[in-house]
Amino acid sequence: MKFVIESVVELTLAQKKALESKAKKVDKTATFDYLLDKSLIGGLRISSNSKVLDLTLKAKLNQLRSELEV
Amino acid sequence: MNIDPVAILFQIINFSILMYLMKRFVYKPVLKILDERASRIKEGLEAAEKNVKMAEKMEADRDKALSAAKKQANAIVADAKKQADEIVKKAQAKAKLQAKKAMETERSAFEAMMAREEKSRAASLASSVVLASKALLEEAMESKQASALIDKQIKKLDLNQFGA
Repeated sequence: MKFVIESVVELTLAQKKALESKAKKVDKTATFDYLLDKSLIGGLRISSNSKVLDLTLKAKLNQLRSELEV
Repeated sequence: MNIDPVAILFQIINFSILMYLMKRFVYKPVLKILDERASRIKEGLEAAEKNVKMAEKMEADRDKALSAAKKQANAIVADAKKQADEIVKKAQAKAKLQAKKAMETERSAFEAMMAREEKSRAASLASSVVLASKALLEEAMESKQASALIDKQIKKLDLNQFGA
C-alpha cells in the first residue's frame, strides 16, 4: 500500500518515523511519498488508493465555509 | 131631427167598405212595413249586442293576453336578473381566486427571492470569514507552528480506515 502524505512544511525525521510506524500497523509493506503544498495552510493530508484523511487547515476552512453557507 | 135608417145603412156599408179597403190597401202594407222595420231594428239591436259582446270578449282576451305577456315579461326579467346575479357571483369568485393565486405567486416569488438573498448573504459572509481566517492562519502559521500542529496530529493519528 502506498501512502501519499502532503504538508505545508517538510516533516522531520521523527515525525516521518512516528507516522510510518502507525502506517506499518495497517500494512507492513507500506511505502511513503511526501509532498509539499503551501495551499494547505497547515496540518496533514494522507491519502492511499481512493481513501483520503484530510486534517489540513484548508479542509477545516472549507468545512467552515459549508456550515456558514447553510 | 129625423133618423133615416137607409142612410144609416149606407153609412154603415160605406164605412165597412172603407174599412175593408183601408185594411186591404193601407193597414196591411203599413203594418208590413212596420213589422219589417221592427224586424230590422231587432236584427240591428241583436247585431249591436253581438258586437258589444264580441268587443267585450276581445277586450277580455286582450286583457288576458296582456296579463300573460306581463307575467312572461316579469318571469324573463326575474330569470335574467338571476342569471346576471349568478354571472356576477361567478365573476367575483373567479376574480377572488385569481387574486389569491396572484398573491400566492407573489408571496412564493418574494420568499424565493428572500431565500436567494439569504443564501447569497450567507455565502458572502462565509467567503469573508474564510478569507479572513485563511489570511490570519497564513500569517500566524510559521514553520514552527506548522510542525507543532503536525506533531499533534501524528500523535492522535489513526490509520485504521486505510486497512482492508
